[in-house]
Amino acid sequence: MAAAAIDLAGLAKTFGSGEEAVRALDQVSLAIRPNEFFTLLGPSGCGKTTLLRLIGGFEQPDAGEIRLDGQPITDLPPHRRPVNTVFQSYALFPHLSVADNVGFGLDMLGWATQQKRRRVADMLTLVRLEGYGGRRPSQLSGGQAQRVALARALAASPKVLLLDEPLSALDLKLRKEMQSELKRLQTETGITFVFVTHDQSEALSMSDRIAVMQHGRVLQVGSPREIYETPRHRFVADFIGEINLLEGELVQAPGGAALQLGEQIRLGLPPGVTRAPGRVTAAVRPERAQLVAASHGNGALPARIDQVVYAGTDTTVLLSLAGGQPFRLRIQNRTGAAELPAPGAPVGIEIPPGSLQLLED
Amino acid sequence: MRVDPANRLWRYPGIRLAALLFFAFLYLPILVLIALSFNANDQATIWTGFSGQWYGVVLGNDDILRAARNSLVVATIATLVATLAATLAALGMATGRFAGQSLIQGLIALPLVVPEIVTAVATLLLFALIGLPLGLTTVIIAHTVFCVPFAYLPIRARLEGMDRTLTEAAGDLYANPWQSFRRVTLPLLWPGVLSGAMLAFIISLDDFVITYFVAGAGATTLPVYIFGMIRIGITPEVNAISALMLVVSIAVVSLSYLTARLRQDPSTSPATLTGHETRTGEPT
Ligand SMILES: Nc1ncnc2c1ncn2[C@@H]1O[C@H](COP(=O)(O)OP(=O)(O)OP(=O)(O)O)[C@@H](O)[C@H]1O
Ligand SMILES: [Mg+2]
Repeated sequence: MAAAAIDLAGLAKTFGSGEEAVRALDQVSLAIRPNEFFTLLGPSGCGKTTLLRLIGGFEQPDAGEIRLDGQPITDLPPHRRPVNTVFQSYALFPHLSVADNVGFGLDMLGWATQQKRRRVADMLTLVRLEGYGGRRPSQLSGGQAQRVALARALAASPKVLLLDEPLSALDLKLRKEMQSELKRLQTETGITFVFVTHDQSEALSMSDRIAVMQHGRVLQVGSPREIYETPRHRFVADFIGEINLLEGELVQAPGGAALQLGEQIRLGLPPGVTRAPGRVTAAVRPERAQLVAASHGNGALPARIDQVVYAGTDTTVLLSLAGGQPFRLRIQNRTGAAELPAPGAPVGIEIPPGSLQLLED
Repeated sequence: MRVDPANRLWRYPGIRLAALLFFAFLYLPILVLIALSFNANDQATIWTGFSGQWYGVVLGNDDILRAARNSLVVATIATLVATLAATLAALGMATGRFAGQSLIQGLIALPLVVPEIVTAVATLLLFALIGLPLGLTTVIIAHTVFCVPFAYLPIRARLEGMDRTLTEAAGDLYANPWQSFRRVTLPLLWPGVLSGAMLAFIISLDDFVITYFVAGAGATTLPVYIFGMIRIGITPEVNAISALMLVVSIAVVSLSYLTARLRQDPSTSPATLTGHETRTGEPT
């Protein structure tokens, strides 16, 4: 594999000291690949912005190293790093026109006027703002300001573009539009994007890979599919999409590893489980479980329907397991689908072996 | 003045009268002074007819012209030096937190509340102790010092209202610290610097107490000169100089206002700057 575009090794950052110390980043190591749309995903305060500011050079790590294309850049000030940022507040210069904003970085790099003018025009075309060069930032709508910020950050063709929740200030429609716009820009320019968001659906739909963070640590890195389908941690499973958690005993049965729930029920686990037997938590997505008749036998969980929620494309069935724990199940609404049993009816829940995912806590 | 009936303030009885009296006390004397400066009579307070003769007398009086020149020289130098110092101080205070920061902030603003007479005596005492002969130099030094807090306040306020990510954005776009200051911080700070300088200029032009104490022979400024004249009585000449000073003050204010406008920066005026930020910063 090619060298990583950005290599983060053992980054740590603590703000404040003594009682008020906040460990914003704790031993973060990541390798972000060239031309990748890489997303940092996590709840508020987990250290996403801090990590981005370390890469941009606005903050110095307490420990660890940052390498760009193999070159250490940890000690370089922001203006010496071939990395550009789209700030959450956009940070457009209010005293400069849109064109001067976009050309600012080129000016600083000493581009000739003619070249610069052409490049600025190209960038404005790229973000679909031809003819807006003479405007002031105060005369732009939120979405337009956002695109100017993008054009400005892309103008000098940085090796890496950092984006800190760039869409959070936009309304839903504009947000969807900008999501595909961002994706298009990333593909067209081939620049590595490091994108911060706390919106899981945004992360899933846009990213090549996602790093899920919590309390200053990276819990799991993987493709959207890996993160969604094979979460390794309870936090990751919970944070992304909806999930059902089942606590039980890991046993080695003749047919391979299985999850023993109570006396009777035994659910098959995917092959390749190497964990030692003992208490474990397994997770299953609502759309992966199936509703079966109550008389189905030991492969199914006995349950009772509490509520049926019809939502157009699908129907969510809220159930209670024998022990009282809630379980959520989702069924695609297809033509000719059988009528669902009424609330209160006893049913069975079948979970295919490949759908059960063991979690580390 | 159009009165908004919904404004509950106007329902209080007597509020109109109080407001009217306030403005009358403030501006009537000034209007009377300007009128009397055009009085043909040489008794300042008895109107006989219109004449511009006292302006001629003022402009032909070498002592007055010398005092006016002193005032302008002092105000100009004090303004330049004080504004520069105030700008640097404000920038220094904005770079980050350091020990004793709020103490220093207080010390910069304290002269605003120290009775001027105390400052005057203390300044005179200092010059006497170090053996500096009183003259224009001592006036300039004193003025520079007491102008600093006046210049500092608007600059600091402007800097505080500035989005810090703007300088980070400049750094991100390959501007070294000096370029970032030149291209981003300074242009945005400029309106604050301008009002700081304007304030310093007016305060210096107007100062009497401190100047009276530390001005040596030949260093008389206009306010001190007018005070000397008034001891003989209010003459039409005094009215004319005062009117001229008023014109100069208004001219300075208008000029700085106009230059700010002429830079044609709709976005650097505080109103539109914050307008922009709320527009793009909140979910729309
Ligand atoms: N300059 C600072 N001084 C003190 N504490 C800070 C500073 N910057 C960040 N922190 C703390 O570090 C932690 C991580 O902050 P960070 O801004 O990186 O979170 P985030 O993941 O970007 O959150 P959000 O989604 O809310 O933007 C938080 O607890 C925050 O309070
Ligand atoms: Mg953040």
